Parts: sequence; C-alpha cells; structure tokens
Amino acid sequence: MKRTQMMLLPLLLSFVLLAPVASATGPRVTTTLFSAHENEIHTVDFPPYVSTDVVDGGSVSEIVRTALMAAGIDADLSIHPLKRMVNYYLLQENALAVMGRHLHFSDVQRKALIIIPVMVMEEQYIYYKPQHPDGLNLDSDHLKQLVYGSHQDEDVSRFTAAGCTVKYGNTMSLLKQLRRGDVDFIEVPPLTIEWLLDRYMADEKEQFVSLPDVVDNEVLYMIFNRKHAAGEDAAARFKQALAAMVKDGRYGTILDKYLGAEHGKLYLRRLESFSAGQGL
Amino acid sequence: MNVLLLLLALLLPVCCSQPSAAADYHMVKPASVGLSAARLTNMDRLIENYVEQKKIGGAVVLVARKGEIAYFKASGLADVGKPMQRDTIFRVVSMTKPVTSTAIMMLYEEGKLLLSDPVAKYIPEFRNQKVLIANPAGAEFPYRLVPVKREVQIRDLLAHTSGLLYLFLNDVYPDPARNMIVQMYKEAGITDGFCRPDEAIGDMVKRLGGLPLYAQPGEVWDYGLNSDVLGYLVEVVSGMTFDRYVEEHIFKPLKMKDSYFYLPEEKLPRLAAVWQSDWQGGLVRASDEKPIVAGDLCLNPGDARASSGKYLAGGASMLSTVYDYYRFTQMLLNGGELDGVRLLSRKTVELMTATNHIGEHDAVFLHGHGWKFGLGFAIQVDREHSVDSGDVGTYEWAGIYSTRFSVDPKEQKITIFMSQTNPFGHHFELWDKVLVQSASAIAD
Repeated sequence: MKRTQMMLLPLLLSFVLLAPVASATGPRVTTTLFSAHENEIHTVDFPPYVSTDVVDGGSVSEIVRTALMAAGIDADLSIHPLKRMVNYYLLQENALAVMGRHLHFSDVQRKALIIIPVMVMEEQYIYYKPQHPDGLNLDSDHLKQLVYGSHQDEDVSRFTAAGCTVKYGNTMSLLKQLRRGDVDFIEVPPLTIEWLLDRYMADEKEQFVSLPDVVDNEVLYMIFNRKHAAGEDAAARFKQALAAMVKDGRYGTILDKYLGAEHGKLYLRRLESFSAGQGL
Repeated sequence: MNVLLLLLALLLPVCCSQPSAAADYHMVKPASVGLSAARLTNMDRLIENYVEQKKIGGAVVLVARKGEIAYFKASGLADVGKPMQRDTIFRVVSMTKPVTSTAIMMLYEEGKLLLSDPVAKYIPEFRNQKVLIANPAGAEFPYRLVPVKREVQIRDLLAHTSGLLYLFLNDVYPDPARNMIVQMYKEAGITDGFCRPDEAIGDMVKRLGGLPLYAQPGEVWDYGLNSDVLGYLVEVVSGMTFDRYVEEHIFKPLKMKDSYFYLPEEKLPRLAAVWQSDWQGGLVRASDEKPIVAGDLCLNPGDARASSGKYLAGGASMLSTVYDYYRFTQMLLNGGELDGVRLLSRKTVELMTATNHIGEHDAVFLHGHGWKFGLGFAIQVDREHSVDSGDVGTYEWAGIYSTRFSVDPKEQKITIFMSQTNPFGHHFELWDKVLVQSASAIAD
C-alpha cells in the first residue's frame, strides 16, 4: 500500500465513525410509537405538585420518579389535563399505575387496586372578597344559601347534607366561578391557589381569601393495578422504596427543594401517620 | 428658508402616504386594469340594497386588479350614527389564519422549522397523542383511545388535517366521537378562542395537546383550533410573543398600519360595531357588554375593545381594515412581495396555494365540493361542482363576523368584503353575489 493511501485510510475511517448520523427531512415519528412502553403511569395536572409547568414536574412527580428508580421500575409518567383520562388508562387499558386525588372507585374496582399514599396536603376554604365583603360565614344557617364549587368526584356529602348547592369545575374554572359569583367557596390546597393566582390572576390575588382553619387533609396516591402483569410486584417495590426515601431523608430533601424546609417537614410528618386508602 | 423647504419636501411624501382619509388611497380608473366601471356600479346597488333592507348595518368592499385598486367603497353604518368609512376597523376573526400561516412560512424559509416536523418537537404536550374512537352504544365504556399512526405535523396544522376540532362545529356535525371530545375540551377549559379567554395562548395549547384527537393526523380534513396552535408555535420558535412577531415581520413591512391583536385606544373610535340581523329587516346593534352568543361559539364583540390582553389567537384575534388586508393579499398574489418588500418566496406561496395538501378530502365548510385547502385558505380546484364565480386556483377565506377575501391569480384580481354582522350563516349568499359582481366586472 502506498504511503499516501495508508495515511488516508485512518482519515476516511474517522469521517465514517465520527460523522454525525444523517437526518432525514421526511416525516418523522418518535421511537415510542414503535415500542409502546409497557409500564405506563398516568396522572392529572395538579400544580405545583404535579405539572409540566413546574421545574422537574413538581414535588410529587420527582418523589414518584425517584422512588420508581430506586425500586428498579422503568415506567413512563404522563401528565394529562383531565382526570377522566387517568381513570380511562387505569380501568380500560390496565395501565401499571395512576397517581392522583379525588379518584373514586367502586368496591369491585378497588379490589384490583393497590393504593399507596404519597403526599398529604392541607386544604382550606377560599372565597372571593368582593362577593362577600363582610367575610364568609359557614355556619349551618348560612350554608343553605351558599354554592360550593367542587372538583369532579370530590366528596361533597357534607355540603349537600347541609343544604348547599354544588357546582363543578377544575380548579382554574372554580376560581373564575368564584370571581363571577357563580360559586361562593371552594376547598383547595393553599399552595395550588397561590400558584394559580400568581400565574393567571396576579392582579386580583388579594381578593381571594382563605378561611384560617385547615378543613381537610387531601391525599395524593399512587394506585397500582393488579390487572397489570407487573402491578403487584411494582406496588410492593415502590412502597418499600418510598418508605426508604422517607427514612433516609431523600423524600424530605425533595420537599425542601420545592416547598422550603418548614413546609417540607410538615408534609413528611403527615405522610408517616397516614394509612393507605383513607379519604380515597 | 431653505431648511424649511427641505423639511416640507421631506415631510410631504410621508404625510401623503398615510391613508388617514378616503382621498389618500391610490386608486385607478377601472378601465385601466381591465374592469368595467359601469359593471362595478352593480356592486354599489347590491350593497346599498342589503343596507336598505336592514340585512346588514354597512360594509366596505374593495376590488383590485393587476396590483391597483379599482373599486373601494364604504356603505351604511359602522355604528349607530356613525357612517361606515373605508378605514373602519373590523374584527376579521378567521381571516387571521392566513396571516398566521404566513408567519409560520416565514420561519420555515428562515430554516427554523420544517412543515414535516412533528409539533411535539416544539410543544412536548403533543407527544404520544391518542385518537378517540367511540365505542358502540351500550358498551361498558363510551370510547377507547388508540395511538396516532404518526404524530401531528406542522403541515397538518396549516391544512387542518390534524384531528383538532372547533367546539362550535359540534352542533353542525353531530357525531358521538366529536361530542365526547368537545366535552373533554370543555372540561379542560378549551374554548374556540373568539372570546379572548383570560390566559396566555400557550396555556390553552398545552392542555389541548394532552387531549385526544378526533381522527388520525392526515386522514381527515376538519376545520379546528389549528391556527391557534400555530400562533403559539411562532412564539416557541421565534422567542417572541405572537403579536410582536406578526407586527414586526408582517404588519410593519407591509405597512398594515391599522392591523392589531389589541387595538390602541386612539383607534377605538374607528372600530365597527357588530350588528345582529334576522336577515328579514330586524337589525340591532349588538351589545359590547355581554356575549351575543354564549355557549360553545362564544362571540363577544366588546372583547375587541380591550387595549391589552394575554390571549393571542392565531385563528381569531386580528383586527384590521379592508385596505390593510388588501395589502396582505396583494403580497400573496405578487408571489410573496409588495412594494419592494419580500416576505415570502414565490415557491413558498406556490406551496401554500397548492391543492394537494388534503388528499382526497374536500374543504367543505365555507365552500362545497370542488374546493381544497392549502396552507391557510381554501382553493378552488375545479369547475365540475356548483361554483358561482372565480377561476380554478382562486383562494379565499372568511371571518365569522362576516368578512371575506378572494384572490384570483389567473385574473390578478382581489376582492375584499368586510361587514360586522351576526349570525354568520346568512352571509354566504351576499358574499357569493359580491364575488359574482367582482368577476363580472372583468372587461378585457
């Protein structure tokens, strides 16, 4: 081989090996279309805990992803705008798991589910001050004249029993209904309200008032599906990994990252004392 | 003194180029561009007749040929006690869509995107979309979701082949799957965008991307929220708000001085009122205080009086004049250039006006069979079907408050009609007659 050819060979090889992969300009699709992920987890947008608009998907997303990784579960987490889509994937397509709150299941459906609490949140009543300039009185006499704004599938039995009218919507539409006077009060975690008001109604933030008492504990659950081939095993491993995260401080560190140290510890204490399935 | 003369000489052309009064528009005698002045007077009679019968409050009509305005007339009232003027400002609503398409095609020419790009490349919420299939009545669950065969591409948004819907058409095309998707849209706070919701367009688009599609991308033609997604895409790709991008890259270069997404306060007096007509002589000026149509098709004329807001709908939010819109369409007719300013290449305009983007489907919404959809407007593709006027290759679109444009490349003719009358459905006959008058004025 001539000397010049010997010198050219490594050069040509380096072009072949190091050149970037040529990209076609035609229609292209994601690889996931051809290799559907067997382990799908579905959840509904719930800022700032679970949302594509929050860094790293929000505190609960990060806790769940970290626990899944620690448990060796390779799963695809999808955040949907509607809760009914989450129910669809769990009950109709037998997804590995879903994550959420206000997810009501029949007794038969519950038998196929393994329910693990992931985070406990305080909820407070919120009203719109211009509609109630003298404050909101929720004693039994006043409740009869009030309209409660509920999320779909929220337990409203205590309001209906008190004679309250109930209207429904997602949190953002409930805030707009409060402003229009279509509903008088709603029940939402304060951090969610703060996040939504800062983002969408910053000018009117001061007009939305929280009643001081915590009225309820709202729980975000991971709900594994026994009908999925890996459901039971994944649930056991996830539960173990989550418990380990709480114990070794990783859970608290993630909460601190999103909520600050003070809030984070509060959420952690509640989770430790919470039993699975309560309030679901 | 010399300085004063110099200043005057410099200012004079500037002042004269501002079409602030009717006399300032450069017009030619119809005969000089092959149009019959006598026949164009039929247009006067047509519009005046509709005004006299109180079917519409008023209108502005423009006919241009070979790059020159030959007919430009305002009739009737813009508002109570206020005559229509040639510089009256209109809510052009869906005539925003061709402008949005132009913004996308400019980014395409800059190499910022390809029409074959999946929308998910820029808006991740469009990844792994599903198509809703209605289950047979009596099934345990009303629907099932199947994966898309291919992702929605930018081309699908331009040609309305994405499977995204408009809510208001649920009443026009009753169908179980459409109804289920519309219910999901409502639950997720998606609107048709005509009422300028109190949120940024990107927030709506991200939620929309997470909801099921009505049909497999590329396998349907269904007029929907596609241009609204494109408007947000302009923001993502350009890094500018949609209104600012359009203002800097389209309105300013084309000297569309009265075109906005939110009107400046000093121009509010020129905004036409919306009139509600029963088409039988019952004509009422619509309130600016509340929607005239509440429901899925939310129309609130007063929204156009807001001087600022977050919602920038690429499918609906533009306010403009007949003259400004003429400048935009003349740019398209010229193959992408007007008065020495080139926005698009001739090849790109040819691509936008090509008739093979929607395959076997026909664009049967504003038009009937015999019309296809390009990348922002409908295009007449044959004369085998019932068509009143125009040539093969003519492209058109309209706005829901009764505005319409038609560009006939073969005859180098542009016709623009603008009124502000509700409901929309009554106007097809009037628009068709306007286009017939425009076509029958050709005299060469």
